[in-house]
Amino acid sequence: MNRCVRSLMFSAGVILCVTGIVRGDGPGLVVEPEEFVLTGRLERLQILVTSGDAMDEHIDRTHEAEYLSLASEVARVDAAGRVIPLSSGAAPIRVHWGGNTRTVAVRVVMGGDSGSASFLDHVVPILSKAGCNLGSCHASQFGKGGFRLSVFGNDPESDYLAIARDLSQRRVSPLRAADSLILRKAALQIGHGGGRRLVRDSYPWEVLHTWIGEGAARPRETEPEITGLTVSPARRRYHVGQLQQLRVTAQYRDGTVRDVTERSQYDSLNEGVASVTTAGRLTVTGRGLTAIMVRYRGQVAVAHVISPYSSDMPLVDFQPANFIDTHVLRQWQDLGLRPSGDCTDAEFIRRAFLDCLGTLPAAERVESFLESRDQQKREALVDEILGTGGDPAQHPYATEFSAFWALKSGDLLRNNRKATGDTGMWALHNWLRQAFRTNMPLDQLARELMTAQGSIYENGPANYVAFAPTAADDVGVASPTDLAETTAQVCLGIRLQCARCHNHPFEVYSQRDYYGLAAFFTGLESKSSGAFGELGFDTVVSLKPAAPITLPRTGEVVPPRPLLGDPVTVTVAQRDGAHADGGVVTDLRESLADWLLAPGSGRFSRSYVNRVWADLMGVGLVDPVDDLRSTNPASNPELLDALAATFVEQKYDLRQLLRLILNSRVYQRSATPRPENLEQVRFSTHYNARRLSAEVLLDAIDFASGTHEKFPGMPVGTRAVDLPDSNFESYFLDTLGRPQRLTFCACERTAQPNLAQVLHLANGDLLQRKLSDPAGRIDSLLARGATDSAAIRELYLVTFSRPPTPDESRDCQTIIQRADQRRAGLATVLWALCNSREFLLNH
Amino acid sequence: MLRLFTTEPERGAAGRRASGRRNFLLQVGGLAGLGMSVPDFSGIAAAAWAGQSGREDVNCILIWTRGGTSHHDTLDPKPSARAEIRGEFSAISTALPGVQFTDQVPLLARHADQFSVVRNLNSLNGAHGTADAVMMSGWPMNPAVTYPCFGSVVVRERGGRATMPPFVQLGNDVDRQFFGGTAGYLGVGYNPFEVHADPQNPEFRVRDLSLPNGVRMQDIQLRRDALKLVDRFQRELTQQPAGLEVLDQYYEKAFRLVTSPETHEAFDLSREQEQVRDAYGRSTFGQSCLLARRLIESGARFVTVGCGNEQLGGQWDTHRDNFNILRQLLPPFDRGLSTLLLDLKQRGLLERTLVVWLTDFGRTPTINPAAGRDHWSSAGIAAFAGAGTPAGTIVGATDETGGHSVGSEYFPRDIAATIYTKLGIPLDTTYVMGNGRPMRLCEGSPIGELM
Repeated sequence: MNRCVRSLMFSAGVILCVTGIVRGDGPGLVVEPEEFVLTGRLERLQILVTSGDAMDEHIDRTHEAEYLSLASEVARVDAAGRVIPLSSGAAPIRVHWGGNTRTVAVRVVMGGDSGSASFLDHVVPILSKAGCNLGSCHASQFGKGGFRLSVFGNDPESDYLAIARDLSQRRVSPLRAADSLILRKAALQIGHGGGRRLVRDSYPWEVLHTWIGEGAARPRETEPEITGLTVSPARRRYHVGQLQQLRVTAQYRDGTVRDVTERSQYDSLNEGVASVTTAGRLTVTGRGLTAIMVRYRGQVAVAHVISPYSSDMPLVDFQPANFIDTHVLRQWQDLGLRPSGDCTDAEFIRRAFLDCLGTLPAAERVESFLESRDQQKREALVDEILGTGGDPAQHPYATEFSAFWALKSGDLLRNNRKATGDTGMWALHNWLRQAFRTNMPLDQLARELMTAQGSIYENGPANYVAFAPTAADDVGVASPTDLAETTAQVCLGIRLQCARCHNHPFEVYSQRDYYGLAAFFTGLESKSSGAFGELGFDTVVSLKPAAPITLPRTGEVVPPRPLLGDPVTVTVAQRDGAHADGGVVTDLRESLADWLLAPGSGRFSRSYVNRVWADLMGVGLVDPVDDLRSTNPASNPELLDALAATFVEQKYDLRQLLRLILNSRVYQRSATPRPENLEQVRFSTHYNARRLSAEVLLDAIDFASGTHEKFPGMPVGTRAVDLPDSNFESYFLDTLGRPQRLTFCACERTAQPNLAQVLHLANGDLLQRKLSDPAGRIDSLLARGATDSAAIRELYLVTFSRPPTPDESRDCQTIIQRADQRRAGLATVLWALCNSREFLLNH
Repeated sequence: MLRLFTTEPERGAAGRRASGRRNFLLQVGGLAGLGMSVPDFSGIAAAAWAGQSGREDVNCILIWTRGGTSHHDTLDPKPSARAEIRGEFSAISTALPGVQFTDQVPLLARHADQFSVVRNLNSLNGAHGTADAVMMSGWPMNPAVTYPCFGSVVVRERGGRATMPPFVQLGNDVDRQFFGGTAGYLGVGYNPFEVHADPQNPEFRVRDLSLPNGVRMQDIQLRRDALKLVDRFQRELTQQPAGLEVLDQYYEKAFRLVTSPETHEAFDLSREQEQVRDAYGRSTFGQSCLLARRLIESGARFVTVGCGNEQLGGQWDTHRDNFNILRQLLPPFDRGLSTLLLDLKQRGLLERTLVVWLTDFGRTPTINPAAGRDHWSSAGIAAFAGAGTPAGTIVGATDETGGHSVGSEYFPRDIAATIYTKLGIPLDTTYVMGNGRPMRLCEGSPIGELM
């Protein structure tokens, strides 16, 4: 989908080229634009002046250049390169910098009788920019001070009525515009709970003043639709302290281009790298990568800021093993970053097991791996873990693998008996386990989920669309809007919920896009099994003719349409409720699945590889993983594209994807950051250490203690990662952040530490129970007559997946001697190991 | 009948303020002001814990009767209504002239001049689960956003004191189905410290604070020493990565909690005189109220006392047999709450302790064929005391059937505004959610009669 936005932005770029850029000879002075038409007195033009040298270094000179209007009665220009129209005519603007002179051909066309102020193009944007229509201000549920606006100006007609008609029209005074309540309040000439939002006689003040003075005209239906937004420069390298003026142009359906620099909103995605003023001038404040998000009338664009950490970083000792390494190496070089060294073999086997299988390696496997002299032993281990060695029968860890990935998928699909009943939940869980055991291609998995029908007891994927509001209700089909949100978040990694009620604030999605997606799910119905003469409480999902779905505000029927795509044709018969094609109902979801999985679209593949990358590397290339949008760019877009393309080429094979990442040298960095990279998480300079997730940690404690946690209703030996849903009472799992599977947000699972977790780990009954279990490891060590050093060695191997150093072994022996009994001493050592960072973290 | 404390109330060591013995956390404290998006920064919670305000801040005890306590049968009786509305209880006079409660709450009636009652509360919600989310945050139910509850906001804004967890929930009678009573978008670091064990039980132990079976206090020192020796991962770094530093802080805090006599004394009800324990009533609710007072004395800022029975889905939810059930539930409630108010007052704690009683909603005026009352959202009660609340005020009134407010009415958002204002938290406080969405703390107005 991101690609759609890109192509949109790209086509916008073409228009910019037509507008033209002045390229001087000499040492390179670029003035943008070459020519421009200003229509109406509220329009503005921002000139950009850039000097360039042979080293391809571009420096913004906009605020240093001198400007002169050659027709000062037609237009004037200020020191910041802003052109203000005064009357119709031609006004060449002369630009001087560094001994170079360029001319921008400006033409001014003043409006006719219709007035120069547009409610949509002037008033709403300046209200948005001043923050008036934020949910926390006048767009809150009840408005503020009796004045209510729509969120982000989403509903201009009602905003117009609120401003121009409500309160006996006292908010606007067309005859004495400056006395209008809205201006006096906003300029804090009289009390305003929101403080001063506008400065008198400033541009935004003038916009409102002009609009009111011209009679406060309502939104005009004839205004051309806005189609795109372009920011310049879209991507540039800077050094700390450098400033850059941005220039923003909006494109319209009728081919018009307007300079909206003055009316756009600017936000930095990382203030630590760059900050930006309301006038669109950014300052590079730190090193790294960020983007400035630009918003105007529901359109968005980003200006990428690259600020290298150092200028020259020799990375000759890093030899790429595959394309992941090449892409990341290029980024390290771009940003002047130096990665940490290679991880040890012990670290590698531990993290490979945890990342792919969610379990710690057996002590014997660690020892044999460490002893092996095979140069290719890491690759061989990866194939052993994943079963990718060539012989499909050779996958000793198939059970662990399918359990761990079914758990992740169960989280994502929020498989939960409270929504689909016990049997439905088990059906989906078993189907997922089978899918990962047989290495079902992920595109097939997604399609089967999206298009499932039939019994939720017999066909696991049917539970994707099944939902019961509470455990006491019958299971039915979830609402089309729920399924649209789910599908967007799960399959596309897009958070669409915002667009249910208002246009997405950081993305081009509108309510129409939201309901267009929901329309694909309007052809589903469910029957309880009783209707088929069967016993039990099964629910059967089946197709029905699609019902029309309407925009809540206008009642307009929205046809099924993929995000930013073309509407899918719905036959009249379908729309009228009759069965099409001689009784066969078309499943609209099939066409949505086609769109989702369209070759080359990258829609599903980008979202999925990003999730897997985040699972393995601790942070997604796009972060958060379910928030893919043009205004949340990937830290390494080329790598994301390449991974997605390879994933598709390899037929959506999860194990091959994992193999690729595990075999990269990037994955095999040490978890210890270099001092200068301490705060660094996004550029893979080191392996991001993170706490084991709740289930994995509980299993690891069981493994280390040689015990088995018993879960109600499950056979002994069931591990926490094997549990099909969250409804197995466990204070440990809940406290350590097991998700309740109520939302589709990946943020529901948390590894954030908090006091309750630490208290439970350090002083809880669970670990104490394990340490004192007579069938556990401590008693086993005693029964086997292990010496202190042998016991300590085993305890290290089953917790840290490495043998202790001689120092550590000696320290632990001291602890054992200090305890009043040997058993208590060993238990204290194991307690300490289980509460150590090296155990709690995947590193 | 209610004879409280013939002698000077006992003040154990729990009453002492532990001073901040370590200030390394304070260095982190500065980060809290950076306006970082909330859930991204787990360190804030740790920082908040260490805050030493030095002020006598206002604290809060929230009594939550889960399930929806009938307003007719407690503080808003309708003695002159028809029998099918009036119910089985009779109205009795209270300490306030012209104000009547039912005969099931005689102690609250006798001390009606010690607290104030809101009778025109419209909860705008008639379902359980959502009620806990709505009433404890002041926001309408929103499936996409979990608003933080009062206690979490207090911790976020005020931090903790001494070694006590700043936000404690006693009992598990807060319905979590819609995350009621949790930190919501503020992040799990601000969730309450939950004590599910029954303080009425002589074997009462606090999970994870009391030492597990077979562990002695001297074992803890050996464990700490062992951890120091074994825990070497990335210790060689001159500066610790943020996530690890936070983990260290929690371990430090956990050890302090487990080993500090203050914590254990605060939770140790055996340090109270028997007659004090009797005065609160030997019930789970009564002893929870007493424990709440001890926790506030020891540095907790916000204590939620859940009252109900989770296993039974909240017994206050009296769809059937309303009167017999209330005959069981109300006497211990009456005793516990009235004693709490008097005790706090006698100890001089009431001026800086806000006590609030909230419940899901009211119940139907007309008694149903099962002798029960069903959910009723448009009229219900709340009670306030302390922190400058004028005592003996009756806010608003319902009509002759108790079905609707007469004149003005208040909403959950106004309850929230009242609580926040009394606790000194500005209503225009704004948080930024993880997704960048700015969230206002509260959209209500403080209830004028209570300020």
